[in-house]
Amino acid sequence: MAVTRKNILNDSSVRDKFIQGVKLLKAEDSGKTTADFGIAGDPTPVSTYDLFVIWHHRAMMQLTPAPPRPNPTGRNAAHRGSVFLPWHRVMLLMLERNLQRVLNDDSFGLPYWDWGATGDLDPDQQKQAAIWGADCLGGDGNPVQSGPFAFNPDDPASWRVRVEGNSAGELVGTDRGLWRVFASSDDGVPDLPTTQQATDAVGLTPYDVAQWDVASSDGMRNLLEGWRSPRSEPEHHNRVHVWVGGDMWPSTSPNDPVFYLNHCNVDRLWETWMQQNGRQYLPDMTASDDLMGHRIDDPLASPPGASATPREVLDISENYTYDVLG
Amino acid sequence: MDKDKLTRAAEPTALSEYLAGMPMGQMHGHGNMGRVETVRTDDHKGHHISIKTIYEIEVDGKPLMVPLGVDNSGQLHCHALPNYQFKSAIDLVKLLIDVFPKDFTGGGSSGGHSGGQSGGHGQQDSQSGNQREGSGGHPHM
Repeated sequence: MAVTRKNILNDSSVRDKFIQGVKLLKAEDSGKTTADFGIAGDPTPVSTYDLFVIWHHRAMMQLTPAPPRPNPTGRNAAHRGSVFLPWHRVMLLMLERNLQRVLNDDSFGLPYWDWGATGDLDPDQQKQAAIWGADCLGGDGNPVQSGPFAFNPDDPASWRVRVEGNSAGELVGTDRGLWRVFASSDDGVPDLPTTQQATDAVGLTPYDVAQWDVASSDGMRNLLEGWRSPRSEPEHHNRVHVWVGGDMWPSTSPNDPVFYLNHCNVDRLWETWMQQNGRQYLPDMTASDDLMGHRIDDPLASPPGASATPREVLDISENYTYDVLG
Repeated sequence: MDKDKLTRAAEPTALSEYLAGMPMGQMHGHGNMGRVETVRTDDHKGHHISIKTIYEIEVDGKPLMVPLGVDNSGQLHCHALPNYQFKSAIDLVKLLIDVFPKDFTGGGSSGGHSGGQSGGHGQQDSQSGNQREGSGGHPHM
């Protein structure tokens, strides 16, 4: 039976279960150490939660196509190209399965954060919005000091970042609190995307266009991912990462649980688009091998292997639905 | 997507085995001693264009390895900073200093883009990022 994914601000039970679930996954030993993943430094245990951090980073570092084939815009196995939405759909599905398992609740659906509604607020109010309340995701800081992911150096059970990236694009071990910098004046953006901007993205057709990357001049995917901007700023999905800041900036952004709420909303908007336009995807298999990894029947960089392709995840009605489409 | 396959693939053991066998990454010019070489190519009216750009990046006199690429519009991207595009390599490196301060020990806190490293990892500075003041402007896109 399909579960229903709900707005985290409209259902305190789902909100509390999400927080409980990610904490349980953070505390669960995967049986692997950092050395098993080639992460430099003394080997330390890797939690199930942190497997997803490593997965996201690794997919991002996998260029599609790989050198020496031409790929000037840096299209990778999960971003900067057509596969952005299907790849993250699989990632969310797999996290949702793990949350259901540790919560012992098959009816649990991953919640979403309707960031457009927060973005409709005055910029100063956005930093104080309900999503950042102590009973929800908590606020910003370095480390975060309020809410369920606040850091307490004396409490080993408090939320800790254990794997992070460095400037060379490598993973390294660490042990510190979560970092957020809402609307950083140096490295951020002043406000979140609005409901109107989300609606505009969903109203675009087709799904994607050549060059199938960050330079695509039309299509829903490139706008929703956040690369098309008349003001030369990150937009939509990218803008949420950049606005939250801190651990949401680098390739290890799943370190912040808000990552999943952002992507669940992006997935909801994609589902809205498909309800309006049909379960269509581009490019198809007539496209060049240079687009391998982004075509409709190419395997996604994911554990299900060949059984997870963009085509296979276009219809997810057996797995979940949304309470409200965008 | 088949629910049973998904459930099996989501098991931590399956996910961790998959990740352990996943390629370490084949990034753009990852650089060697701070030297990054990028090549852009295109075809126009039967002519083949190839433009090689070499970046030699140092911070505080030390070579910096940066996984960057340049697209045909001249914009830069860096795989360590996935949600940004840059018009300027200087802005790219400034943001690397801000986001990865552990990689840039030493240095002052006055002037410059970052306004110091108060927002860096491992610092104990609540709300620091929102209070930082820098040179203004944004490096993005």
